[in-house]
Amino acid sequence: MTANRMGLDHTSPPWTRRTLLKVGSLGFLGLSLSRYLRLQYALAGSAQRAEPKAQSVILLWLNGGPSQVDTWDPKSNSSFRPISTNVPGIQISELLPRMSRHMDKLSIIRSMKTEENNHGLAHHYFHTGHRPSPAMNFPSLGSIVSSELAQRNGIPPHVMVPSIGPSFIRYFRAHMLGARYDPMELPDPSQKDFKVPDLSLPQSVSVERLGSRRDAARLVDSLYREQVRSAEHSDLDEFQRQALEMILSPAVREAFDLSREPEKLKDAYGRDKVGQSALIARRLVEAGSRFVTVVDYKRKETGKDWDTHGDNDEQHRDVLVPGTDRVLSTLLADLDERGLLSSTIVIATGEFGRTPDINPAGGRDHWPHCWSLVLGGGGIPGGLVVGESDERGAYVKDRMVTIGDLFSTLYKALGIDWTKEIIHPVGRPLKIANSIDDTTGVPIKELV
Amino acid sequence: MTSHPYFAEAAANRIWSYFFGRGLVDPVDDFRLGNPATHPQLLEALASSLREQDYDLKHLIRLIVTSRTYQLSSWTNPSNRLDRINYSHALPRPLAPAVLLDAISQVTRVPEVFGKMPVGTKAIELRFPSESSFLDIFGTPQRDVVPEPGGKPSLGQALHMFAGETFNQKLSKEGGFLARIVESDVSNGEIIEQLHLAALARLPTPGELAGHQEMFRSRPRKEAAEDLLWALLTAREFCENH
Repeated sequence: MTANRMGLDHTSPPWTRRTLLKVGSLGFLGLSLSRYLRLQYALAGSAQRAEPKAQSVILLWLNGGPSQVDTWDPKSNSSFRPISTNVPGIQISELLPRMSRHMDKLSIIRSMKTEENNHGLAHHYFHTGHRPSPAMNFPSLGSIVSSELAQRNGIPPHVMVPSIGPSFIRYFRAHMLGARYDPMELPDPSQKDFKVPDLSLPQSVSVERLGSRRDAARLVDSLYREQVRSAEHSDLDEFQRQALEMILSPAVREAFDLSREPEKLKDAYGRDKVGQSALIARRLVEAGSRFVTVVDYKRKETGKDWDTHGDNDEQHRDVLVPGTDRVLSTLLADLDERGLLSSTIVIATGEFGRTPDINPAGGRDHWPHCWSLVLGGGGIPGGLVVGESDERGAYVKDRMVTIGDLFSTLYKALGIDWTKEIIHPVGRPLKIANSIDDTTGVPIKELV
Repeated sequence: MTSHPYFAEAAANRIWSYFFGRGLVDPVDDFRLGNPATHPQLLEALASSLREQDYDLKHLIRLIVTSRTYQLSSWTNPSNRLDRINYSHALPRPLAPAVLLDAISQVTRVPEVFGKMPVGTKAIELRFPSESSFLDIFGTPQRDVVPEPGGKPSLGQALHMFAGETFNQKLSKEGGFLARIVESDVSNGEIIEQLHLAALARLPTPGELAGHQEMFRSRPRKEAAEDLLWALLTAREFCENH
């Protein structure tokens, strides 16, 4: 069953008429067939490598759900034209001119299919791979990645910038894995007075005094701790250990310090909330973070986000897609220039797509049945298209990709065993790459 | 509304959870066949009492807080220390962020100032989220759900304890409780006792007293007192309802 879901797999007959046509056109546009085959061969070989290339993930979270036909899967029912990219054969919406020059760095999945049709539930589904249950909370992708990969250099492994706010943060939490893998929530870095609070000691407190305070605290609390147990003890103890490490490390302070970036680069990312957040994300993965979520939610300019139930075209054209186009292309170029793209997975997605039809308010509504996302870096090749939608971008035509497939692809790229199950305290095993009908997701062969 | 068959059970369960940190049905809003009450007869008794008293919540609260169960100590013994659902001992809970901030202000006698609110306004009296770095980090009362969520440990809280202004400014404030007691002519032992009484409402044990006196001997008195009070204000014994 899985074999025919993999269009470019060497173990199955891969040369459908469509792929041959595509390869033929590649040659016409400058990439020879033999080079294409070598590329495929290299990809097949890389699947067996022992050392994972990916060390960290940057998730650009397009909160609310972008319209697939107005972004990565252009169709005739979009008001926008398709344009060619620097990868022959791949076209994307004209709203993404900058990304058209970086398409070799990201691959497009055009056949995502998910289960939930409401923002909260779809957040839950996307970030945990499970449908919500009233009986238990599931750990998020970011917290699982953070707990599976070791913390590096005293840098918080799981970070969210800026915070998504109190009502949605629970979908990003670690729950049973322990609060230490919850995302550290940062304030909006585009604010003039941006600073991560309390990273350095006030002048009145020397490092030596910190030691004596800790000694006194141990003495004060030992009696109580012997007698009273609470779940919060160990979480806060672990946070204090982390906090101390951070306060004592200049490298950590530097990682959060945007003033060290050249003004020109800040401009290139964009001086808004998302742009500066992406820049912080790059600094953090460079310093050692494992999973950084950049939240694109309620843009200041308009107060709107990707949930375009009205004025879909205007919102996508004037605010939403240009922002993503700028941030994503700058981030990819910046990571590439610093040699970080080979170890950093970049993924840009919302919780679902949007309806193929425009509603009476000029908007598009929620659509989980078939939608698109992009990912690349960290050993995941760019310039590929996985899956295909029908002519209106409404339903999957070829090679459905589930959240479990996506998770297992990411885990494999990061060197994490995607078949792993975690035993929930209530005794239920949880697949970390949970796919539909209680199956385990299958890594996308073309990508890992 | 009270005619709904689950109303009395749901209300009694919710009030119970405010006092014990968990409902007899837990989570409190998850009444279903697969999630039965830990003590169904108790829940039924509380619900009946609520019905009989014409849904008088004060009556229910009085019933709960005068019970032996509510008055149990949180201190455990070897036979009950793992128990989380049978009410063999009180379960410690973190203080709500606003309550913790008020407690710190009260012990240090340095009031927190919230924007344009009059000095002396307590965090628990704030009707709207207000400017406060402490509440930003520990959790701002939103006033939209009861009880307020919050008190969940975070890295930001740990950072604030070490380096944050709430702790450091209140400790070293001129004219604060600590400054006055350090400048007075009371002995180190008395300072240690005073600080324990103010923060924990108990005297130090002989072992604690000896340990802290050692610290006072090896350091400037003001610094030693500040460090001790810091330790008291960040102690679990202080930050938890137990």
